[in-house]
Amino acid sequence: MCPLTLCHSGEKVKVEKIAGGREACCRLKAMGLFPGEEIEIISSHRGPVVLNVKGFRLAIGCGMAQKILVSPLQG
Amino acid sequence: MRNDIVIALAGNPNSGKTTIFNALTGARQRVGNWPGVTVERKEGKTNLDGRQVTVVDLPGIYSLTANSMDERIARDFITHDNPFLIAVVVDASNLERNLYLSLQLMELNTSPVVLIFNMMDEVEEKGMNIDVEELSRILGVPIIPTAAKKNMGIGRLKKALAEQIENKELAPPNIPFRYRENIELAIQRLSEKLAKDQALTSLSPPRWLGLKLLEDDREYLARLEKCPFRDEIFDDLGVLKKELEKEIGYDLETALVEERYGYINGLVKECVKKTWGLSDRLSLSDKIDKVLANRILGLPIFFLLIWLIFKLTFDVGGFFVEYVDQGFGFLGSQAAALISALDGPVWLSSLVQDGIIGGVGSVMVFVPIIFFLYLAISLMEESGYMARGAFVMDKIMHAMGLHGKSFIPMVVGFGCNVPGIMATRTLENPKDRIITILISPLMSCAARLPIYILFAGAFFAKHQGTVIFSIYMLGILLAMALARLFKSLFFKGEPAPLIMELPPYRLPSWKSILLSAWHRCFIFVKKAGTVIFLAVIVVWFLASMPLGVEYASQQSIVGRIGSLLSPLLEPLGFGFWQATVALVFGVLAKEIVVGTLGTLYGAGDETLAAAISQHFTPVSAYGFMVLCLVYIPCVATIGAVRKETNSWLWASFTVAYTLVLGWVLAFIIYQVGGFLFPV
Repeated sequence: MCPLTLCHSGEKVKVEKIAGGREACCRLKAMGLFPGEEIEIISSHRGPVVLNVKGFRLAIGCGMAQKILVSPLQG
Repeated sequence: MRNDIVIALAGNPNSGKTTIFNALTGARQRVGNWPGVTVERKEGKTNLDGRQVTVVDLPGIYSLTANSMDERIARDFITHDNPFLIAVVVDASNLERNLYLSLQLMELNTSPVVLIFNMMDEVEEKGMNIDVEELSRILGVPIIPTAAKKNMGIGRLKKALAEQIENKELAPPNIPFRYRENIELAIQRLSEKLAKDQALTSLSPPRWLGLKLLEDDREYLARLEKCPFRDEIFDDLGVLKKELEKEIGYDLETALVEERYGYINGLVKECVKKTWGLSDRLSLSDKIDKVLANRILGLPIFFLLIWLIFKLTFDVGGFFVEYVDQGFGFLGSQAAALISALDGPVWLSSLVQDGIIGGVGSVMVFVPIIFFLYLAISLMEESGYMARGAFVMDKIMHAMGLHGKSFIPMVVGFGCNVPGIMATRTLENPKDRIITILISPLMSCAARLPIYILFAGAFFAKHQGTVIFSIYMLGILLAMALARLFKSLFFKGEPAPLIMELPPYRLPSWKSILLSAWHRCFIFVKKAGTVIFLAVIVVWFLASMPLGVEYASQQSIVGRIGSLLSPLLEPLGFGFWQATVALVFGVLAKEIVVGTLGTLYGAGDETLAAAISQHFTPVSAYGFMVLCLVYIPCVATIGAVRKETNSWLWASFTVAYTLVLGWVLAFIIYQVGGFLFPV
């Protein structure tokens, strides 16, 4: 498990845990990002990231990206 | 209760609600390609089969839990106002996430629901095939496919809405979706108890209440406080949640979201066929983002874009200014000649030539430039770049005590500060929002542009573009520095994290951006013809009074008022009464600064430029431009600050800090500049 900020562009990962404020978590879940969901990292800048969540592009700021823990998917 | 028939347009941000609204009502509300263009409730009328119906356009939401102000406006309307019909606008090219809100609106079970599957053209382009009929049959609600941007399906939509309104059996939907058994049992147990409190259930059905309580929704928990069976329900809730979470293994809220998305996933699998691979357009978007939203290139590109906007605005717009100017000069002399030929009184000829043509005309000559500025802003808004800007700027904005999303109100503010300030409603954290509002007036709006063009043209003709660009940049830098200062003084604490959808880039149609620029330009011209026209007449009148005084002399009323205050501006290098009067009236609207100077110094851009070059030096002219950028925002902006912060204190603070800052900056420029470049 590692925070999103350490992932590379193009990597496919599974969301394990979302820490962080209640409001932010709530918003992410409504947008389709919740534990168990598989996502793709479109671009990672060692800080802010752009993700492919359910086919749309979600930008997440540096601080929040650190609080999202993911594990790599095989293949 | 209202007695008109209300159709509420709800949906995810950037799903095309306003485009549908405009198509239904014939309105021209602003649209753009970023989440959060609409931040207030807008109403319009439409005729459906001979029946007048009110359509309400709402800000976009992702769920019925609201964090920011725009979301609260939408959520409250849906849950409190009981619209006759909720039309959920769904971005069909992004079906799963959009169906999540649709599902919640059906679960809410207060108003009948229809789904509008918008952007069907993009669905086709993506190579997807949605079995709309099957989906409609499963969900038990009508689905109307549209592509509102291309005006496709609007007739069918109107017909379908009319049918729903006529439908005697129209009722809230009864969707087949159920959670796993023990969750359902828990909801049922809670709702039975909740049903006993009629005050509570008059607003929302007990099932929805129970669900929201299990979800730990703060607003619904707060509602429960007044319930007479409060303690009993809280006890039950605690026990039920504990049992469920023990069984599920993680928190219940996540489990509920998961179940909803699981159901949607099943629906999509059943009803959507992808005939070929990933979308080309989206991967093209990703490719563009590799450059525009790049960590290293992103920022320089942003500044390059702003610079390009200027280049376009001045080179192309400036070309037309001369002709408009000549036109007004011609009009003025013709009008004066006509009046004297008809033996009209001298005062009338003065009113027309000095007042109206000199004042309003000197503002109007800049319309071509403003048109191209609006055109560039519209292009930015409709292409999808705005969301990228917010993303690219997030880190810097954070360092400056702002939020990445603060970028959007700032750019909108280049057009006009009032919508810029309104656009802060999408910021989740109230502190971030107030800081952004406070610094918004430093974004140089279109109304200030004529001042810069006039002064830069008269004093820095060779470097006009660069000089004006420097003023805009100064505005941005000051905004950031002050945000930092205000943050450390009044609003300590972490800003909300940036979580934002990046919509795919879309090539805006020429028609839509030309129309949008034209529409905004029209508002500018209308303002010139009303507010500025009146102000200019007042200035002209005061410049002609008392009777017998030489027009626009120091003995006139306006001359005396100006002379009274001008000592304050002496240390800034423009301590003469005309400049003082222009600045005082400029608080009403910044265009009036030029309008007043035009009225006092005579008609035509050429004469005006000649007149000011006698009174200013290049250094004091630059100081004057900076003062005009910073000092007291216009009345409309002050009003917007008051309304959006809901406090006279912040509005007065904005007036005070901008006045002091503007004066100090102009003072430094004149004193230091005078030392460096002695005349």
